[in-house]
Amino acid sequence: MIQVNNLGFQYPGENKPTLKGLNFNIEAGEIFGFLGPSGAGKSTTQKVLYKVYHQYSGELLINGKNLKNWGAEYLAMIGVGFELPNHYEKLTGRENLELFASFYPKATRRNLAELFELVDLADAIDKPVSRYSKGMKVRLNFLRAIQHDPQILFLDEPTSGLDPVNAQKIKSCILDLKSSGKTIFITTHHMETADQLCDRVAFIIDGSLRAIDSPQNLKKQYGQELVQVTLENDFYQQFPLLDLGSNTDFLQFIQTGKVKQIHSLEASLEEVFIKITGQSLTK
Amino acid sequence: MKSFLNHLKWQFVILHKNNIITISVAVTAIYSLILFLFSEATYINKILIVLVLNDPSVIGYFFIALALFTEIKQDVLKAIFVSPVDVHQLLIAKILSLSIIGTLCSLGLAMAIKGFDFHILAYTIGSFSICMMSACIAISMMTYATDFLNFALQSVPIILLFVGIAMVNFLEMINLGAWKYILPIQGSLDLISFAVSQQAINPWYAYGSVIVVLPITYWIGFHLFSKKIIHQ
Repeated sequence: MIQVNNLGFQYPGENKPTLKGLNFNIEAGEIFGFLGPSGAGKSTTQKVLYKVYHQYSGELLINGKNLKNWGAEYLAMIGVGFELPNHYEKLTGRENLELFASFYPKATRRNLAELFELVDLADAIDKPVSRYSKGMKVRLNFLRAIQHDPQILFLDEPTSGLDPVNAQKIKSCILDLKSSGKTIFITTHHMETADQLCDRVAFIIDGSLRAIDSPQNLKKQYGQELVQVTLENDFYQQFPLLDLGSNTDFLQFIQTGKVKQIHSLEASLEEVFIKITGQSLTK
Repeated sequence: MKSFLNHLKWQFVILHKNNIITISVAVTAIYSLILFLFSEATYINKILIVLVLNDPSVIGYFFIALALFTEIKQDVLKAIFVSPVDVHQLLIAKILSLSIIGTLCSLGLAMAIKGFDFHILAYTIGSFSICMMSACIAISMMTYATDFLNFALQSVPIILLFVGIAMVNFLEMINLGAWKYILPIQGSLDLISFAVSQQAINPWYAYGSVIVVLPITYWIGFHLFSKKIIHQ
């Protein structure tokens, strides 16, 4: 669906490139996560992909066709959900979506009432956006990105500023979109979101990709396949996860006292990121 | 065409919600009342023309910049430019919606003292083109400014050049002679002057100037907007 070959980009007036030869591809129906700290090149990559920046080097193919050869029909088949709210504050939620829907005359529009219901905004549909909370505006951003039924979705920090309940609603919507065949490109700092949603993630640091794989593979590769058993007297021991049920040492140990905790020692995505890049995502 | 009319409709909705229409009508009503009270004064035609030069140019110039800076502040433009919107249609709809308001307001000013006793077509074309040119120049200027206040400060010399020189020449405070014909606004000014006081003009120059200057100011505005705002 999206193939990126040797993508480079340098801002005018800067003395070094922001993107240094990125290579990755995103399959149709895949959720692809782009993870990196601020200034790593995530937003620049997205801006190139949604045709805001044209002066890039390398080759970008969308459905096998060079991005430079796509016109407005490409923008009609993508949806962009920005991290920060961007709406006409004096218009209502409904008017904002209707205004933007008018930019997609050929699109199959989703029912507005159902869309607002989807993210728990039904009560606010006819209220001016200036009266929305930040979380409500973020949800409205998401609705605007999906209302014209795009084939490719670019979502920047889709759960940023949301409470856990609403974050979960957005995540469910994203998974529903994936199951209906949409291709989704997420940029985020939020490891848990990436881990829960993404089929594959890419780590970007200083404009270069350091790793691309599924969260499971990365955690397996960089974590330890061990479980740690802690007894009530705080004695603990680690055992290989493989064939744990027939491991006699493990079976004997858990009979020596009352078990307080059993933890797998699988690395978190954040730990994997730090191991690979030497940097924290939240720097 | 349907798509353009749709843009135009939404521009009017946005202007209405931001009280731009109400403010324009209120300011025009105050001006009209003043003109009506002094309608028997000797220089009323000149006062009317000076007001008409100012009112639509201010509506076109400052209100389009205000609308665009509000959209920049609310980050809406960012979202618009990742949609398949035709930027020409969007900009022209913005310019046209304000120009229609500006023209209606200036017609209100003229009617306050003239009733229907003036050349409505020439007057309408004159004030409409002033409004459109002002809006196009404002689009160019706002690409050099960081916010509306900065834009307003930078605009002082531009407004003086664009409106001021033509106005003082019209008021015979200076005499530019034939040089006045290179002023972008002169054709429109001639049309308004002709419409209100039947002053003899060269219609080929007046209409021709509007036809030539409008696309040039629009093209410069669009080019700068595209380069510095869309693909910044």
